[in-house]
Amino acid sequence: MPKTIMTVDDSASVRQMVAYTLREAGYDVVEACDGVDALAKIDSATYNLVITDLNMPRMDGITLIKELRTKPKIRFTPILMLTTESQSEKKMEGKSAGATGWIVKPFKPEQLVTVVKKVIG
Amino acid sequence: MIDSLQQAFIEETRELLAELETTLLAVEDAPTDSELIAKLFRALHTIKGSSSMFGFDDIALFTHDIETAYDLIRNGELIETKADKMPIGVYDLKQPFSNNLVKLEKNDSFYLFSDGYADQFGGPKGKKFMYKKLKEMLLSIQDKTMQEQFGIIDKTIEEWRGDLFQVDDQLIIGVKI
Repeated sequence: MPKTIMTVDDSASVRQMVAYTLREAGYDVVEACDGVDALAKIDSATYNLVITDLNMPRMDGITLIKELRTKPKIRFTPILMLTTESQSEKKMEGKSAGATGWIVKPFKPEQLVTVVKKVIG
Repeated sequence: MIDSLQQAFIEETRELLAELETTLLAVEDAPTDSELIAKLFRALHTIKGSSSMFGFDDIALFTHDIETAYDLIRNGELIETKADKMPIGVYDLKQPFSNNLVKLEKNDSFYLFSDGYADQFGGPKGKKFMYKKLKEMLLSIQDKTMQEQFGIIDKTIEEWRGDLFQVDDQLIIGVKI
């Protein structure tokens, strides 16, 4: 049974690109457009990994990570942040909030798959 | 699929540019609206992030520069042009003064000052006022008219000095474009 990943990003093009790459690599993917949408969809499946952007409307990535870590169902699920070079201070903030690690944008599809495989196999 | 992703990027960027324009116009009427400003930066950040992901490096670099420029405006950035450390009067080692060219935009304020204000002793411990406090004060009064700023600058140093002597001339010239 394929593992399920939620990808959260307000940029539809980046979100679709991440989803397409992961589906091609054999994962099931659920897309969410921001933190609020992600929380609404969190009970719809059992997730093996969450990949979230940080700068989003309504609810940003750091707040989402904190919210997810309060939910027993997803408390120990790995969470990866999508960051840019200019957001280096956000990496530590995200780690403190409960993120497992980060991927720096821009990245190549194969780099994304390599990181995801390292985290969830 | 890659073509359709690129098409999605182009459509999204067009929408974000339109949103950016609308938001900028709204910010003109409400320059301190933090939600509008956050929206503006989010749009720029998304354009930068997605264009770099799709290999449009020039757009990403250009957007990064715009983001930096907007950040300066958001923070009410103070840009300092340091003068030559040389008296303007008679001086044995006198050299030609450096000329500094500063590009000014509408609504910029610039200040020229001598060292007397920052060097004034006072406060609870009789210490110098210092440049850091002077810069912070200038940044904090940017929503005031120049006449109001004059009053605040004058009152601040008088209160700082208290009963101590004035140690030097205290000249500050402020001009708003």
